[in-house]
Amino acid sequence: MNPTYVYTAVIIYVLLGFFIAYKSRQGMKQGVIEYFLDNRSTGGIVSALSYSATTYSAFMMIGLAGFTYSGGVGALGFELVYLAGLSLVAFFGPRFWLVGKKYGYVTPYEMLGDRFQNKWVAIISAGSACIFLIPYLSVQLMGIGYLLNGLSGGQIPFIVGVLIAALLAISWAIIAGMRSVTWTDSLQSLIMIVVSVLILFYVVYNHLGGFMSFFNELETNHANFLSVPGPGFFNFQAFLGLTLPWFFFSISNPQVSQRLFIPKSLKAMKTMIKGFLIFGLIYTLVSVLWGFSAKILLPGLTQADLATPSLLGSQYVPTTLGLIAMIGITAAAISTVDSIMLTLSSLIVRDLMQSRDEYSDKKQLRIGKIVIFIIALIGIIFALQQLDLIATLSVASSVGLMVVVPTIFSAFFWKKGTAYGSLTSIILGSITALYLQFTNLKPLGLWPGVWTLIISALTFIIISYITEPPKEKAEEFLGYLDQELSDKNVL
Amino acid sequence: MYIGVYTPDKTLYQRSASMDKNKLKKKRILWVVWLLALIISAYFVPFVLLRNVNQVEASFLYWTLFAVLAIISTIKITTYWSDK
Repeated sequence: MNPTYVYTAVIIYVLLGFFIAYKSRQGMKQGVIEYFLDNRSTGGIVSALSYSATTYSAFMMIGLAGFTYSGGVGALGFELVYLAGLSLVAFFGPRFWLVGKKYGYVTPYEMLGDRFQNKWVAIISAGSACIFLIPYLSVQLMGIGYLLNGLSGGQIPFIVGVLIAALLAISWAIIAGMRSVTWTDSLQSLIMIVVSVLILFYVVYNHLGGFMSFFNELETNHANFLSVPGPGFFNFQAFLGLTLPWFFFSISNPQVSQRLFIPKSLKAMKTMIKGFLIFGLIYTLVSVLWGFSAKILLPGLTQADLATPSLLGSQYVPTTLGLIAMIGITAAAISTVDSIMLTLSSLIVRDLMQSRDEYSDKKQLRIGKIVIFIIALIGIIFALQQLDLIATLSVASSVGLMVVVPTIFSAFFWKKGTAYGSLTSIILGSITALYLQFTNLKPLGLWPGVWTLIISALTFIIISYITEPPKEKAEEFLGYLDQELSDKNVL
Repeated sequence: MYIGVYTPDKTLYQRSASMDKNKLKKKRILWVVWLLALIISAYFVPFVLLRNVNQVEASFLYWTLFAVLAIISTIKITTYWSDK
């Protein structure tokens, strides 16, 4: 593909993004809640679109399509079990939202630190999130580097792609904080969904004879891809090991759980959940069917991750459509990266530095913006090194972030949970996740995600039973929620 | 005079608008049990009942139906909410 076309497409997308980001700044006040949480006043549709763009990264059209290419229909089950995990938000969403407003929490870990009356709970949770999320962020940057490099036939160097992505993410996170992130995310989510549907329909109707013929072709020539374990990858242990951490994604990943603080009302949260679920179902089906299309049209690829770039660069997809698809995938990556940067910045300022009571809003914001640059710089350095370590940490991220799940459950549903229970479960859980991921061990055939959840949950329960819970705070916190939830008919 | 008329009206309004705590708890348990059963089925049906059934109408269709049911259930739970 001619690199001039690639640059032109990128420039149009960038200009549109900047226009929206600057528009979003109008009328914005300076303050920590305004900057990190859009003043808790985001409307339902913007919340839904932004939640979708943040959750779904370049993984969908590249990684999930690749999973389908190599492992078959199990990839669909994996991603839809994740989507069903959003049912957790129907229970946790209003709880996060209510206590966030009442106690002024900016980050989910600030909430845990206060609920368990121990600042170390916030510090350790935030530290563990940084260890797992920065590598995840740099893998997204690498993805864009490879994509632009591959589609331009090697004429756009890898480093240029990485830098373009990092600069856009920094800008859109800094211009107006959560507001510019949610507004640009909304644009990007629309690009992602429209583009992916468009290229799928083009390929299916132009090269595969429509959906009926496409499914017939699958049943005839790739029949074993339509069941599990199918070609082999998705055996039960692998499926359980992959789905378990992702099922809890909506409460374990701070860049999405923080979003439970931003809707302006419960009605807006309802719209957010509804909109995201519909978006998620469509995007998942499209990504999986795209992977199947690649299997039929280009059956001989040795690397499954190349299924999407290869199909986009093949004779089956015209240049213009390939370019549009590239923008769609870039949008998916950047909308995830800028949200992670902003959330990590808030975690570092509020939880790691414990600046809530010490610094003014102005100073917290200044530090927050500098931190975004530092995070981006670390992300770029990691991306350029292309180390195996980073890839492994990134894969471990969904497992590693799960260690906070027992603490979150207890915060809302178990008065006897203690700070020591939380701290030991987060530390031991993180060690388990890292150890098993790096050694590739699967004791009793169970994957790291399963062991991490078992160990962190058991540790939390056992240590909580032998240590003292913050009774007064638990009574006050849960008492307030009990009354509010009952008034608002929240289950 | 005014307060005397207003107070019972308000109580009535609150009773009709929000469920009592026991009813809410019962509903919560029922929904959690249903969702758990649904999620377990996403493992059980494709891996046991539809194992090696190589058709689009098998695991592909089941997982899609499972997701649609999970989505409808989640949306239904949110319809109880009121912004009072």
